[in-house]
Amino acid sequence: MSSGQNLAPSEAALLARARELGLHLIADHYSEEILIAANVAQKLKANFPQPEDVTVDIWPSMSVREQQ
Amino acid sequence: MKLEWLTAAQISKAYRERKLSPVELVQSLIDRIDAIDDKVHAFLHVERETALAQARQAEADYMVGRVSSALHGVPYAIKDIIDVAGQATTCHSKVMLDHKATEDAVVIRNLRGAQALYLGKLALHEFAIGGPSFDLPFPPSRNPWNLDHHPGGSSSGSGAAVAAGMVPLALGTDTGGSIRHPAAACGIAGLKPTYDLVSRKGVYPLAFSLDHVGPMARSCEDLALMLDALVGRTPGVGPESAARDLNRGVKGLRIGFVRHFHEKDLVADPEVAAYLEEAAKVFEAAGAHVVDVTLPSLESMASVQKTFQFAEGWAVHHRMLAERPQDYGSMSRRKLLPGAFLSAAEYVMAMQKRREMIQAVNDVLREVDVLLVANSLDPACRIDDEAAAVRTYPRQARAPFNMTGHPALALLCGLSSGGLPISMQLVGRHFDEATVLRAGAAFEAATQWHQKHPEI
Repeated sequence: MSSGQNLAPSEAALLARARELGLHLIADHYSEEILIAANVAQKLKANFPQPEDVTVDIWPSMSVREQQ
Repeated sequence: MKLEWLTAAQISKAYRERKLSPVELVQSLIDRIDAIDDKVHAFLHVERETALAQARQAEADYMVGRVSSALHGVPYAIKDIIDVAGQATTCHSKVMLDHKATEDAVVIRNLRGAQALYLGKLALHEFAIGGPSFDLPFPPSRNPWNLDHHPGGSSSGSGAAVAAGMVPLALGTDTGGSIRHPAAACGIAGLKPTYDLVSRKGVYPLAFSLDHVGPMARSCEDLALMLDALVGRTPGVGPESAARDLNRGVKGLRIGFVRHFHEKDLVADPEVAAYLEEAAKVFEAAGAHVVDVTLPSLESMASVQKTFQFAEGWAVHHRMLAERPQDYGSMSRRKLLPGAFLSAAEYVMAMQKRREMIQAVNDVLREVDVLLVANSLDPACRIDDEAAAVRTYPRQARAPFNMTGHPALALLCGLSSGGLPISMQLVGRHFDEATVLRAGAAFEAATQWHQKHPEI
C-alpha cells in the first residue's frame, strides 16, 4: 500500500483521475492497484485493432440470429 | 457400480431399471462430499436434508412410473452466482454475504421443472472474475487431479465437484472462458452455449454482452441433457434436443483446425500442441475431413473481448468498489479497475470490431461444420503461485467465442506428463450446439478420455 506522496506526475494524474471517479478509498489505500490497472488499460488500448470502417453501425451488437 | 462416476444418463437409466434408488445415490454423494471436500473446497453449501427429501420423492415417483424427464432425481449443483429463492447468493465475496435471493433464476426454475435434484452451491472466483484468492470469506477450490494446482475458473467449484465425483452435473457461467477453463483444468466437459440461448435472469452479471450460463458434466450426452433442461425443453426428447445427433458420428463432417491460435499467435506448451494434433487425427480416422482454417488473430479477438469485460464489469461494480473496496479480494479489484480508464469511444469501437469478428467466424463456419481450437495453452499451474496464475490467464483461446457468441465445447483430450488434464475446444455455428456435441460425443467414443478420473 503506497502513501500516494512523491509520485511521478503521471501517477499523480492517474490517482487524481481515480478520485474524480469517486474512488477515494481505493486511491487512499490501494493506489498501486490503480496504477497497475491504468497500465493494463493502456496496453489494451495500444494493442486494440481499429475497426476497418468507422462508419459501420454498432447496432444490433449481439443479435447473432440476424447476422448469420 | 461406483456411484460417484456414474453420468447423469447412466443414473437415469439405473433409476428406470430400478437398479439404483435416488436416496442411495444422493446419500452416497453427500458421504463423498463429507469425505473429501475439506481438501477440494468445491462446495460452499450442501443441501443435505432438502436433497434427501427430494430423493425420497423421486424414489416414490419412479416406483409408480411418474417420471417427468431424463434428469428426474438426478443431482446437480450450481455456481454460487445463481439465485435460488430464499438462499444467499454470495458470489464468493464479502460484499454479498448478506444478499438473499427472493426468487429462483430462470435456469433453476427450468431444472426444477425437469425434476432435477438440487444438491448445493459451489465455489467460484469472486464475482466470476477474481482468481484463486486467499483473502475471501471462503477458501479457493482445488484441482482434484492435484490439490496443489489451480482448478481453473471462474466456475472453479463446478469443475472440481464434477471432476471429483461429488455431483454428476453442475452449472457454470462463462464471460471469458469461465466454464471452459475449469473444464480444462479439471478434465471434464463444459459447454458455453450460443449467446442468449440460456437465460441469464437471476444470475449475477459480470459483463452483460459476454455472459453465458451453461452445463458442466463428465460426458457430452450429459451436457446435452442439461442444456435441454436449461432452456425448458424435455431433456433428450424431440427434434430440437441438443442430444438429437449424439450417435451420428463424424463421418463426412468438415472440421476446421484453427492452428494459428496455438502455433503462431500464442505458442502452446508442446504437450498441448501434440494432443491437439492427435485430436485432429482421431477425427480424420473417424471419417471427418479436417482442414486448416484462419480466423482473426487470437490477440485481436482477445483484446476486443477484454474491452467489453473491463467496461461492462466496471459498470456493474464501480459503485460498490468505491464504497467498499476493502471487501473485495485484491485480484478482483485489479481485474475490475482497468474499466475505469476506458472511454465510451473505445467501447463503441469494440462494438464495431465485434461485428467484423462475428462475420469472420461465420464466414469460416460456412465452409466447415465445426472448429477444432485449443483451450488452455498450458496445463494448470500451482494454485499458490499468484504470478503463474496471472501469466497463464491470458494464455487461452476461449475468450474470442464469448465475444462472438458461438457455442464452444471444452473436452478432455489428454493428460500431461505431470498427470494434469489437457483440453480442446469444438466451436460451432450459432444455435448449432447439436453438431458441436455430436463431434464431442464421437471423440469420446473413439478415445474414452472422458472415462479418466482423478484418484481422490
